[in-house]
Amino acid sequence: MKISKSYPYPVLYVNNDDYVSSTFYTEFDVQDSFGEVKIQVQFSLDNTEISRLIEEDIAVYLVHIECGQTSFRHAYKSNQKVFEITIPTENLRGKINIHTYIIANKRIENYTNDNLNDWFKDIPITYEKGNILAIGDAIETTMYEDNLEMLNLPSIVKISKSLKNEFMEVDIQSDIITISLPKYEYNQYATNAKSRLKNTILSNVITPSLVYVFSKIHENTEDLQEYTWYQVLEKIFDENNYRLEDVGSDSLSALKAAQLVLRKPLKTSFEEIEKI
Amino acid sequence: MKLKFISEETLMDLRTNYSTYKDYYYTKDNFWFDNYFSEPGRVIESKIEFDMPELNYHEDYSVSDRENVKKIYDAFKHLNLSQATQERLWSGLAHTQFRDFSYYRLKNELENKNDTRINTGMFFKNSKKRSLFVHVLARLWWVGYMTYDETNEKNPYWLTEFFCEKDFSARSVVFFASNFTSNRNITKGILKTLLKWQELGIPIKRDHFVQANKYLNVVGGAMILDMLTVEEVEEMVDSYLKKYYGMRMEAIGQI
Repeated sequence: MKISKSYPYPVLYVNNDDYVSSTFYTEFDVQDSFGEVKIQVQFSLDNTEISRLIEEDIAVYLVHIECGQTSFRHAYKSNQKVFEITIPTENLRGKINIHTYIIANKRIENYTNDNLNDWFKDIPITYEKGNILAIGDAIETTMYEDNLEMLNLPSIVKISKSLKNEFMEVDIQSDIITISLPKYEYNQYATNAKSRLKNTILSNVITPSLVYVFSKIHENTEDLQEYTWYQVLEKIFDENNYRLEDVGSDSLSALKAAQLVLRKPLKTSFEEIEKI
Repeated sequence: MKLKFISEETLMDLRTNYSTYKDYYYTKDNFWFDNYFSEPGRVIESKIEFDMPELNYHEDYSVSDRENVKKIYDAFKHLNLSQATQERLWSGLAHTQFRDFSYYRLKNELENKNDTRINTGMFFKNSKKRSLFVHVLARLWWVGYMTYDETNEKNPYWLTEFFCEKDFSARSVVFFASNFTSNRNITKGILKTLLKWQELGIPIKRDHFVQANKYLNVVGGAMILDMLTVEEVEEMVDSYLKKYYGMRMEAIGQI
């Protein structure tokens, strides 16, 4: 869910100044165990009037959970500051977005609040049911189908034989990046993959493919984000204090990114050749 | 019987080498396909049991699509969402246990060698979500899942029947491309409104679906649609569409 930046009514939000001396934030704890995802949410609200509305059930805390891939989309309401949501893991796959809000549980007419910015003084304010009174923190988390399998680079790249093509091709529209090699090249690759030149052979195939992948990463990024390979690469970059979305910029070219991920493949290759 | 998946390698081979294999598709070469899938490691038998549905092969797709949504969803209702999003499952079924259905539903495309549609029909070639509503089998399950109304005990498929009446392929993609139609309360609310309109004699066209979605998209920027009840969504969409199509309230005062 994309958060809008402007609303036709005041919203307590860290990124605007509709309110003074008021805060609303959320802490999360997400645990995945034994087939269930448990999301514990803890709200901290500092605004007397909105707190009162929640006590009177006129407003509620709301946690919105969305998983694009499985079309899972639910809103959970509560008037408690701490609450836990349990979702069967099987309902979720890939990227999950969790947002928190305080929303109007019913229509609120002639809304007033002592901490409203002067801008709103003397303007009649009405919230319809479902309108947003406050926006809290949001997190994004990823559910892997199989944690053991999905966390390294080789597992997200597959090399396959093309019976017809004369040139190497790369397919990125799938969970795994598939590099297809022409018949002869594939056979050579398969026979020599364990030889003394294995890293040279591997980088010969994978380096240009990754450069290709990185050159495509800004086209339809939203679609690509759903794929496992994207999520794994994102994680690899994060762990190494880079950002996948920066690839292709002046500071991080596709060529450099590929070499970073493969840990200086050219150097490794020449070291192998030197030893022959 | 047990549901069969295809292995990741098989899926990749079929996808990668489609141009080599395409003649077997055009000529519906069952001998080749049977041989191919009989090789060890190609097909994986799952633990998931199902009763093979007798699908409808009516010459008019608007008849068969509607029936087949119900049959596929009935047969595979017990799949969980994570399983139902897997290409290996749907592509596997389309190539093996439901191959005849794939031939039938892609008849013109196979005759005309429309490789793009054969690919999107047999594999997941669009974005993840879109693929679910484009693949010949997956879309039957997903439209079933999205439109199934368990609150209607007599006919839980009443909204499905309305949705699938015509324009099935385009409707599925257009309607379920929005993120908020993932919420079944919202989906049901829209469908119930449009069905009510149809019962009043207003022919429902693609534009009605598009306008309802557009409206909720705008409203969704200022409110959390997901907390609305089916009835509330119904009311909102109804009053907006009345305004949009410029109908006088009296004309549909019967509602």
